[in-house]
Amino acid sequence: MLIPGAGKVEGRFIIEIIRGDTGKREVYSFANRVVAQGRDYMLRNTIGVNTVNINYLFVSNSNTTVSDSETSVPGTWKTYKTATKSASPSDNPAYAQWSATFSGSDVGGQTVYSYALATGTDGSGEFSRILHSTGITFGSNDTLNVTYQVQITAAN
Amino acid sequence: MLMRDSVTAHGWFIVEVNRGDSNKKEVYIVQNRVVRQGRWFMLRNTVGVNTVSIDYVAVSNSNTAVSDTETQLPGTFRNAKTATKSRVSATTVQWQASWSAGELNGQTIYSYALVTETTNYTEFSRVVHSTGITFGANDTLSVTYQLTLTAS
Repeated sequence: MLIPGAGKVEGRFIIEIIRGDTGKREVYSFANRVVAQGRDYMLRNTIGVNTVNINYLFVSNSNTTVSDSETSVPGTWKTYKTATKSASPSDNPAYAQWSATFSGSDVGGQTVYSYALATGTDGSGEFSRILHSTGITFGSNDTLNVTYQVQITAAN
Repeated sequence: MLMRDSVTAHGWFIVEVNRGDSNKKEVYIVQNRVVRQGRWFMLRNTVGVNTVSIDYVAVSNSNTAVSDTETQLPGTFRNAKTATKSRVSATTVQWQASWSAGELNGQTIYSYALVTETTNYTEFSRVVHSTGITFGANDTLSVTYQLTLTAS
C-alpha cells in the first residue's frame, strides 16, 4: 500500500491597509505560486543543503506580470522590511508565515503594485511575488501590513 | 496579473537490491506522498523557524498501510542509515543510503522511510512495498529518496 498522491504548495499574500486619515481598513487576499527559484529554496531548506534565509518582505511600484522564472523583485522604487517569521504550532493545519508593517513614512506618496518575499535586501533572491493590478496609493498617514503564508496540503 | 497556479510536491523511493549470490539486480521505483508531519517539517525549514534535520533513510518490516497522519516509522524491526544528501537540480533534492551484505540478513523489508532521528524514527515520508523483500547474507540494498517541486 502506498499514498500515490502529492502535496500541493500554495502561497497567499494578505494585504491590510489602514487609512490614517479616516480609520478605514482595506484588506486584500491573493493566492499565488512560489516562483521557480523559490521552489528551489524550499527544497534546499527542506533537505538542509545550500540553505537560504528568506527574511525580507518587499513592496514595489512594478506592475509587470509575475514570471515563473524571475529571480529578483522588479521596480524603479521598492522598499523592504525584515519579516517576523513563524511556523504553525502543529501539523494540522501547517503553515509558514512572514509578516511586516510599513508605515506612512515608508510608503507615503507611492503607488504599490507588487508584494514580494526575497532573501536579499536589494530584492535579489525572490521567493514569491504578487501583482495587484490596479495599484494602491499610500498617504503619509497610512499603514500597510503584509502577511505571506505558505501551506502544503494533501492532493491526489 | 497574478499567478494562481499552484505547485505540486512529489516523492519517489528508488529501492535497489543486489543479490550477492546471483549478481542479479532488482530495482523498484515507488511514488509516494510526504506525510502530514513531513509537510509541516518542509514548511518549518522553509521559513527557518523550529527547523528539523531530516537525515536518515530507514527500513522496517512493517507492512501496514501508510497513513497521512502517522508520525513514526512502524515495525518490530527497524534500521536506519545516515543519508548522503544532495541537491540534484533546481527541482529535485535527494537522500541516499546503503546497507552492506549481512546487515539485513534474514529480514523481510516492506517499508522504506525518511526519518529525522533513530530512537522513535520520527517520520517525514514512507512507502510500503506490498510483497516485501527478503534479504540473504550476501544481499545489499541502496535506497534513494527524491523530492520534487513542480509547477502545476
